[in-house]
Amino acid sequence: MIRFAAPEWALLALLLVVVAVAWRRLQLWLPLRATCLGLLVLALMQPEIRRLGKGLDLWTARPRRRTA
Amino acid sequence: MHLWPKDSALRAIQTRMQNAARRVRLPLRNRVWRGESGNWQGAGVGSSIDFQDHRPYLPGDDPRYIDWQAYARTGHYTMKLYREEVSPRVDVALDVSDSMFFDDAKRERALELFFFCAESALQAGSSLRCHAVGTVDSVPWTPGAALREAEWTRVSGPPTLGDLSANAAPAPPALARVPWRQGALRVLVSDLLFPGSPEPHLSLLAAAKGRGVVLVPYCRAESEPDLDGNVELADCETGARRTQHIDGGVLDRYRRGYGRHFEMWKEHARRYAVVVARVAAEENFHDALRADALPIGAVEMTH
Amino acid sequence: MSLSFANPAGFWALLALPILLGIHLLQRQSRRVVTSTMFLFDTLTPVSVEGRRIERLRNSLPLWLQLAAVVLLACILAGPRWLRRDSSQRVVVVLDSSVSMGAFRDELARALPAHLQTLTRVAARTEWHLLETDPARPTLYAGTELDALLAAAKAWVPHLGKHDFAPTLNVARGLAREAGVTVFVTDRRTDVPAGVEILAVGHPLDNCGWVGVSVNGDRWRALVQNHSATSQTRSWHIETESGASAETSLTLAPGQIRTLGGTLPAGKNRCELVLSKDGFALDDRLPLVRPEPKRVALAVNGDKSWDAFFNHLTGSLPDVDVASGTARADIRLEARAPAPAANPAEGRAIIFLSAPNSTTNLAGEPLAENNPLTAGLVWNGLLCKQTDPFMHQDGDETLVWQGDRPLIFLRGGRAERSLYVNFDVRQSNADRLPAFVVLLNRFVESIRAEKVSFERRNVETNQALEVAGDQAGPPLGMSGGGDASRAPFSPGFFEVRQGDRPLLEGAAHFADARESDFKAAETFDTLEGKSSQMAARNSRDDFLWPVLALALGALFLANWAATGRGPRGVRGGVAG
Repeated sequence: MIRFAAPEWALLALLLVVVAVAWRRLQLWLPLRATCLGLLVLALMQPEIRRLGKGLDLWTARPRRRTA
Repeated sequence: MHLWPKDSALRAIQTRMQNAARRVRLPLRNRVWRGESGNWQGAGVGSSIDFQDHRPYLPGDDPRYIDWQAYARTGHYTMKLYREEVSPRVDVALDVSDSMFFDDAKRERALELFFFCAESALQAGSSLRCHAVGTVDSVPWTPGAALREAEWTRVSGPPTLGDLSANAAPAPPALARVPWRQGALRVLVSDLLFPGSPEPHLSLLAAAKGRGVVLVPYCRAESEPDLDGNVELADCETGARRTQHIDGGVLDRYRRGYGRHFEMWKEHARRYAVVVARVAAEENFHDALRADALPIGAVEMTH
Repeated sequence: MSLSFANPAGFWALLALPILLGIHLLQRQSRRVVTSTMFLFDTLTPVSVEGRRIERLRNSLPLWLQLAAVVLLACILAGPRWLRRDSSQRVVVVLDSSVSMGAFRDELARALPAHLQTLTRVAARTEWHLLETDPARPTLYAGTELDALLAAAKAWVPHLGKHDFAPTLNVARGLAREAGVTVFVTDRRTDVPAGVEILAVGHPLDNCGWVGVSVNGDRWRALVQNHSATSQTRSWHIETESGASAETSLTLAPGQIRTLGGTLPAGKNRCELVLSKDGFALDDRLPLVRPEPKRVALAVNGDKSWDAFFNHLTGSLPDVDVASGTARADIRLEARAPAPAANPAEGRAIIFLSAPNSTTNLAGEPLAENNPLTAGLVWNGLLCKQTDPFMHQDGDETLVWQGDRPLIFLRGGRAERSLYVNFDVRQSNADRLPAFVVLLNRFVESIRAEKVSFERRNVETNQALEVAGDQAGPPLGMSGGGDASRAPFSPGFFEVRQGDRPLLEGAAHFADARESDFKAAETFDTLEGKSSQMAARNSRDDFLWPVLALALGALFLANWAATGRGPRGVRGGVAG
């Protein structure tokens, strides 16, 4: 299960779209460049994969005497 | 050889340009022409019904043109002047240096422009003469016919492409060898890709009461070269080589130099009343004309 | 705060630097492009000349941007972290006390410093604890010096056979608490409680070894096993103080057990069976002594009618001497009439009821009390006659009942404790009932065990020893020091003495076949993820990472701006 620790960085992608339009000479729509920036944004969002562990030992103890 | 298209392709271009010339034509309006009798208003007094002016009768004048109604009114012989109808002279020269046929798009556009000029002149009933002009000489040329090998050799001189010792800059077209007619509309189709001052060439176009129009086909490979990193450049005409590392800065300077080259041509052309219009090769023909040629009067709408 | 790197392997990315430079140099092998505007290029930068690569590289802005991007990327991959000054952790290292670990002392000495050094770097202060899985042993080290811990681990010797690690691991986990690491150092894959990391330092060994021995008189029979997965050839011989026998070659198939036998060297009480050496040394030598059990003296006291039974009984008891008088006897065998009821006890004895013949069978099923002497014995099928019994006394400890009648009971205090058989054996089938014969044997053996006398026997390493000593005498002592209640941990000869008096001469041999099997041994660890987890806990990188990542993105954009071409398809395209 994937979730993002810092999803707010997704806004950076919008900013990059603006940059791509405003500075066309950067040619950010080229596949390699777009991939690089996409990975960067993804990394900033810090994806986390949660795996279920093998389990843990649960110990419960209760007092045997009421006065304890 | 010389990337010359097949006859069928030439005919297709010619047909296409016949149609194109019905919408757009060479700048033949708003101009007083000298030439043989024809459809256009000449500078002399003529026999057309297009009334121009009155003037007093002088001995020797053709009595047929005395305005008898005016004589009845005034008692003076008055000559009725009609504008002479003439056929405008149009001289079209196609620069056949190798750079004109640099890539498919540019070659196509250059030939289109040449046929457009020819068709436009013919449809206007003008007196047309066409020339193929190389760096050495020019030959008369009937539009639609392929140039023969001998004519190529005559206009361009012996082939130099691939000659590694050649390091010279590309030579300009030999415009002085073109028999321009007096008072003709002189149309040069050339990419102007040669160094040096435009003055001598422009003066030839403007000499002897000629009016000059230069149509400049260009392709994206020249205006926006797709180059990066180390490249070995080879000149398509002289075969000269140079190794160049190309990055964004170099490209920027190239683009500025390229722009300056044509600005310089346009600026000098204004002094000689010659119109220099650039025509992009990669666009639709009409759009390409509309971008530059139409606004500055290198061509005009037929209606 | 001090800078550390969570993933120093990320710096391998710097190898991209020479590759990048190589690419830029290789670009000199340029492609050829035909152009129509050469004269325009002629007005630009001078032609780059062959052999001026360095200058050209230095002047290339994209190259510098790309180099910077590589350095930054390597920096990001290495995971720079600012270690908090106040960060501390507790690392509890638990060593597996299994003797199999002894085969990997060198591996342990190499692996332990390397892995623990890594852990040292993830917190400003580390508190170390070194335990072993034998809960009886004290903590080996506790403190903040890693070197001291490593020294303690080097001096440590594993000594246990197969045992349960869980108790010690649970203690260790409690010691490490939430913010600590528990590292279990062993030699094979094993199940551990959650939160315990494993550092396994073993690898499969082709081990062959002695797995057991029995000595009967002069004859010995020993088992040798190939624990490996491949066929193995060894040689073996017998060593005594005065010399060694010839080598005998021995080839064993995978897993095969072979029985070897022979005679103890004449006139020698000690010898050693020696197998050629391999990776695990403990089971390569099998020390033997000529067994000399304690003998028990019996005195028989009964009329003629009992002779047959007593002869049968004494003949079935091992290592006993029938004494003529009662004075020096360890046990008296005595037949008595039911009366007089109260007999004064005189030393240890087995008292049999001697009663007139009866025709009535005792009613009811025999029922045994819970006692070591009767444990596991089955009394069904015992037939006894109804006779007058010994009279019951306070303090009697009944072992077997039939109905209300104590059939067999113990009477007397510790020194005079005697076994009373409260039915006439001659009128029953008891001497053919295994439970009855075993019970008598057990009673005699218990007396033999309590007898203070010299014996010589073969035991397993670390086996519990019950050596009877004089109550009033000095404490028992093991040769070479150590605890006299257990055999030594390593194979060899030993002696238990009370003062000057030798009580036990023994040979301890290693016989835990499970520890000799190294097929499952392997090297691995689960610490990799843990150390970065600890580093994350003890340091902060949150403010650094986005800054570096954004800087990298900016370098990308700058690089593309420097190498980029202008927009295409724009009309005119002429600058200025």
